[in-house]
Amino acid sequence: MAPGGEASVGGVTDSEAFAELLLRSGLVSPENLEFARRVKHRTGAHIDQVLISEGLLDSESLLLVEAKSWGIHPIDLAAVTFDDELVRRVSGQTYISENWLPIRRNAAGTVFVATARGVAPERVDRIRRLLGGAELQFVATTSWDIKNACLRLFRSEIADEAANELWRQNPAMSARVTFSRGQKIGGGVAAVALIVSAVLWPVPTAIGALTVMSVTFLAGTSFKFFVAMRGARYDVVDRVSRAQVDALIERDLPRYTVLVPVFREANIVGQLIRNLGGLDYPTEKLEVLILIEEEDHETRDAVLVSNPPPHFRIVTIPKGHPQTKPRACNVGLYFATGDYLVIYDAEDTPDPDQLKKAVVAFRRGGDETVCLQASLNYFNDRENALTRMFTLEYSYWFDYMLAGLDFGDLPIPLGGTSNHFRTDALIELGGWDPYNVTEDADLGIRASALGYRVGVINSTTMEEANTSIPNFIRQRSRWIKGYMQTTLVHARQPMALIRQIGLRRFLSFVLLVAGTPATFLGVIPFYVVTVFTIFLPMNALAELFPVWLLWLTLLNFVIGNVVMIYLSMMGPYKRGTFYLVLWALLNPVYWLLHSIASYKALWQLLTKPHYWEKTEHGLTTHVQHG
Amino acid sequence: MSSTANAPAALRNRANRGRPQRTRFDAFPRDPIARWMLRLGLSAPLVLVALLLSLVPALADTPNADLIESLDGIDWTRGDAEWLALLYPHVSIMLAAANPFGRLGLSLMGAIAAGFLLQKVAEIIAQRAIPRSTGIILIIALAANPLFAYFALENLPGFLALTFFGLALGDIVRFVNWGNTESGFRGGILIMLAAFSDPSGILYALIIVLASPFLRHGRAAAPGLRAANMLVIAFPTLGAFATIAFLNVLFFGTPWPTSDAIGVISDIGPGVAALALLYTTPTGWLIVAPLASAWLVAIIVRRPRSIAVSTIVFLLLNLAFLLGAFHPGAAGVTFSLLTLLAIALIPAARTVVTNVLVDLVAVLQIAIAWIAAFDRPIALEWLQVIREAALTLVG
Repeated sequence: MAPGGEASVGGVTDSEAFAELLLRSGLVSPENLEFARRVKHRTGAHIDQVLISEGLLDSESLLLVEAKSWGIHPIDLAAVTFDDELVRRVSGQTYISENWLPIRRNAAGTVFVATARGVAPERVDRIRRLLGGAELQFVATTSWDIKNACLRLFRSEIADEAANELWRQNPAMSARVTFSRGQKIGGGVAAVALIVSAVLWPVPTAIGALTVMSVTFLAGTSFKFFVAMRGARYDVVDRVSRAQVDALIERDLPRYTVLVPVFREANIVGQLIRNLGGLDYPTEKLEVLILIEEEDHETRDAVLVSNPPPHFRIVTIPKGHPQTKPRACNVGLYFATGDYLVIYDAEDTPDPDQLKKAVVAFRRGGDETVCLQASLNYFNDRENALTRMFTLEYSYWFDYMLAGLDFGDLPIPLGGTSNHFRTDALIELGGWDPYNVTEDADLGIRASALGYRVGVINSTTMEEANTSIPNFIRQRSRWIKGYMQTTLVHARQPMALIRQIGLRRFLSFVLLVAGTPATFLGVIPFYVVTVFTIFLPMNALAELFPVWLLWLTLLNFVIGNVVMIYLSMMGPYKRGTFYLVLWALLNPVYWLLHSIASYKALWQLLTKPHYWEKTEHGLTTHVQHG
Repeated sequence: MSSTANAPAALRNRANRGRPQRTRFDAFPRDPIARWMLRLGLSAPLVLVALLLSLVPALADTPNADLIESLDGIDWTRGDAEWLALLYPHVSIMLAAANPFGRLGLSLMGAIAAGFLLQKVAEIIAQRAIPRSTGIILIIALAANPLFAYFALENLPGFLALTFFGLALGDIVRFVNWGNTESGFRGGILIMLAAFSDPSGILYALIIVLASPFLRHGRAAAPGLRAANMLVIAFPTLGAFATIAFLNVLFFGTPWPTSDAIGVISDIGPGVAALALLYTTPTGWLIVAPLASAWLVAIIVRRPRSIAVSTIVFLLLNLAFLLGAFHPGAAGVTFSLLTLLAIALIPAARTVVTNVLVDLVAVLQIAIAWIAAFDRPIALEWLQVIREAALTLVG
């Protein structure tokens, strides 16, 4: 991987003179230069950007030529010692966005400044002003070297900002504190009242509890079904057509950043580079930032050994707490230069035209559309019963449920990966909440709460379905815990949320985000009630509970299960995987696993709310084709 | 990140957000007010007849009369699984129980259901781009006859089942032919409602499940497609019955407390003999005539599979009759069902000649309907009651 290459914009590097300089210095062949000119004409990228991104020129050579053309000396920032006090006069983000960085003063008081852009007089004046009017001596470097230097110099600030910026700006929107004071008091009072009631009036309390649970179960499942039905209305209509993608002019395409947070996934980084290398987007306008935790040497080495293309970069995530994917993403956001940004997991294989479809959808959606969710699906669906069930679930969720939420203009909880953002809007939203273990779902709801729109696009990212039950329970417990966290965060000011998004969207949020964990928590008790009903004589049951209550409760439970089975049957229709339809009948068993995971999630919410249950990838024996 | 998460300025106006583009799945008419006006307009003649009938004593042995009588036998203070089974057919029983106007109320509900059914037929006709003149003739062939009116006004459970079936039919054809998923799942639910409106609805569920593989499939061929479609259509009905049966087994040890399987089986032999005799008479030929019309339409529009579909339907109708799914006072079921099916199976791509031939068959169907009505004693008796009511009205 090249250490530099963030191309300079404007000035001499864009000129024919610079091209001639490259040619004369023997760094570029006439054929390669001609190729770069053609690409420049097509995409609007600069010649040096093209040469670097295509691997026709290395960053060190470019740096030498640029330095020569600017009339200054090159410098290797990795080898210099910085004046810490001087560096901290200006924020790291300013250095990164403006592509310069002060190094130190010499004895005469002149400040050495590394720059990755030309030294036009206005630029020199601005830098001098920011540095207190000192005399300046410029040296040439690359944008990427400036970023790396900033990461070293502002390591603790970046780590802290990535972890706590949202909490500092708006504590009510952060899951750093799991239960607010009001929630603690309210929850405590409710728990005591429930216990007292259960002791004093056991039967009425049981009636009340079972009634609430069964109504919640039926309401939650029915809501999902009806929303998915609305989403199914237009499943034969492409939201973004092939023709619209083909009509895009490469010259007008925005710059795109791809964030790939990886942690202890050395076994699949080769696959990652192969899959993301297949994206149909001009590499001159694409940067792929692989976010690797500081301690994860194995994955970093694996990436380096894989010889990734020049537009792939490693960003080392400084150590810090919580060690979560959203914190890594926030660091990635700090360095992102794209107008748009997308997140993929290490094992993801997005449709090649996904970024272009997102561009079309963003342009069509206007400024209020800040995020687009692509569909997720699994390539190893036939591996075992669990992967089949997983695929059924993802199919109805991403192909119909999210489409239905989009159609109804309801809050969309983003899912896992393939979330495309307008970068500036994402920054405005405060980035991801590192303390929320489903930071994506939380961000989707937060965006809606702030009046933005989250949409969906008809493009798919193929992933690896969980093949083992323990791994599944771990993953699900994290997801369900995250939904619980998201519920608690957005329930802190329910009236404010209703005012902001309206009652209809609020109810949708309650049924979907709060209702999902509640539904799963209800499954095991309902199974227990069913087993008791089967094995205990009716007379004995009647002494414990009113029979009509048991009957009504079980009626709701069975109908809820029937609804969920039917909903799962919808999943395969978009993709034509009809061999999965019959497997939907196993949904009640699948939900038993969810229920187990939900109790684990509840326990973790109380004991270690910010703990990130890692999902192991690369377990499949299936190979993705196409 | 240098900005705030509060972002109050970011609150946007949601009013201007666009909707997905309109498609050929649009309702007819597209304007909801016009749609409701069409339903009301199509209901109006039947509403008038219902009001007219309320002036004179009702016929005693109609399905609606039995429905009102059966309400008296229901213990509304119960609330258990067996009671749930006893309420069957739930949709009709619940509607009848909620109806404060007795027989007139049931007839009005039937008239309103007819408005919905006929509007759906008009929608199917519009979606297939069938010429308006042909469409009007088809609707007249289906609805402008005493059999249809008697069915709607005197047999609410059966007509509700037919209405839900009719509403489902358009959805199922869209689901199978055009690959619209929402339609299939909505169709499945409508079929369940049909099955819970009247025992004949179970027959309709069976018809549509068995007929679906014969329809032209709009999706790319994929393993399991036809079986999946059948399951999607049937599942709500199966699931609902299974739910009741499961709870019955759980609480009472029997899946369906009111079933009399032995009695039904013992009646099959005499029933077969009666049917065999029926089809040797002009009355029997008139019952078969709509089937012949459906075949003719299938041949004209070059859909040979539709012949198989209508034949299966006819055979199942006879089987349902043998199993006692139809009320003895029912009339017009075969005619209405087969006519409805023939309309639903007309494809979108046709020629002028095809349209003219379809018109001719539809005119033939009008004649069949009236002749059959005058051939059925129960329909004649009902027409006589209408006449008496009209005389009462004019003094």
